[in-house]
Amino acid sequence: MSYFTFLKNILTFEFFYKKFNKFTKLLLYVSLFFFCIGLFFCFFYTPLDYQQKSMFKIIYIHVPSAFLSIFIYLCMGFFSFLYIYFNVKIADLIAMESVRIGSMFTFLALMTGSIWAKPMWGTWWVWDARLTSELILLFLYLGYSGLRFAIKNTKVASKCCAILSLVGLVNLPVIHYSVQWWYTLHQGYTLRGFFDNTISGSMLYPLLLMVIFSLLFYIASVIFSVCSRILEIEKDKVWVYKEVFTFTKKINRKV
Amino acid sequence: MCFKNLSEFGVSIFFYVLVVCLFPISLGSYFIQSKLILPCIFWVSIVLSILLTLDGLFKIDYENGFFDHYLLCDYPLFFLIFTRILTHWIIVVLPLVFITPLLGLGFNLDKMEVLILFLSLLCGTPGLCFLGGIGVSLVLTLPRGGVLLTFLVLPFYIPILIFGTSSVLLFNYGLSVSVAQLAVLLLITIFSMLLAPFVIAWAFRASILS
Repeated sequence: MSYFTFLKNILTFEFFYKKFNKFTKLLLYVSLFFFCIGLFFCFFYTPLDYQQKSMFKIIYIHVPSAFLSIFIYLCMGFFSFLYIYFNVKIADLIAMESVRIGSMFTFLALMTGSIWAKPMWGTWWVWDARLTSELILLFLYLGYSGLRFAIKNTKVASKCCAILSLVGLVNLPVIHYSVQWWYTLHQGYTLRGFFDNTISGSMLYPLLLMVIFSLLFYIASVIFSVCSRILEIEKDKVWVYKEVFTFTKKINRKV
Repeated sequence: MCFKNLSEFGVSIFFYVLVVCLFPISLGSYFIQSKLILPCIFWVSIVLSILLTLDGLFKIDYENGFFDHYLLCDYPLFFLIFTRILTHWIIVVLPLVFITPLLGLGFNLDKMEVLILFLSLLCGTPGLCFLGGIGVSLVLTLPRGGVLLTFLVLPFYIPILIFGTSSVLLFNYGLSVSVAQLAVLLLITIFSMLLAPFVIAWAFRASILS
């Protein structure tokens, strides 16, 4: 019984806000640091590709955003499961705020992929398995937001959207394994494991730096959005007044 | 229970036949001879017709009060939903599937291709109905959820569409290739038939909070 009360105290909105709000700025600056280093290495240290000359460098935006679109959907599914099964309300907020960023990164992945495809493959779009399933992922994200916007009762909206995101989890193995199952236009695996890669070292490290940047950026923005949403939801509570009071006092003191 | 009145029964059949007939009219006689488009026409028309008739699946029950009976009676919700969607498939979609060989012969398809098309529709349409049921259960309480329903359900229809049409299009490469696609179609259908009622029951219990 005490374990559950301990968990109930941990998982309140107030606890989440007070513990995690400090990390937003720090995480954002660290992620920007990785972004700058990654792009610096990308532009000045990686060699030109044998066939594609310098056009391949769009990989440093395409791969992190594609990886992040899948990772965010996984996180969304995980937190939706937590919300539906264990009734953790924070999980529902995290899932709701991840959708915006997830859909933006999916759109970015599709767009940078199209821009890369035009000089390489000669076409903006082709209906092969990986691109089609990525498009389906974009529709799933947009459907989530549409459903959340359409249902007015917040509890019913949260539950229905959580169910939708869990049902859409079926799409993720299709995206990941599509280049293995169907031998069509999109290229195969580049990063096969930790030590078995076919990509050369000087091209790999900026890629890993950009992936770390995207992860940290996602975590920072989700914490930021969730904290503002918490303030919005709990606006009648005393602790919110105290927080706003200390915050405005700090600003007045600086001015 | 599927239709408000008997005349709605004709709506889905007429819609299907009309849409199928629109394509050769707009394409012209030259392109229709190529036969590559034909399974795609039938599949897209059936997807659109099913999307039209999905409104009659649970929305009518919600409006007439049967929905509360579903939740209140002691019978397990899985079987109620399963049989409801199965009867919807038998009454609404099976006539469309049986009309297809007649239309297919009218389009000068081979007998074997018509058979493969018929089998693919038989294997794929229950999956379409059950996945559509998931979408309907999510937008049940919305007064004008029709367009959102289409948007939610289409990402799940796309794999069924792909396998359904490729089973006929790849018939040139051999019968075993088509049967392989039909097997995957059957897999998706059975998967959705077993799992969708659980999800729909979940969504019903969630939306009754309002």
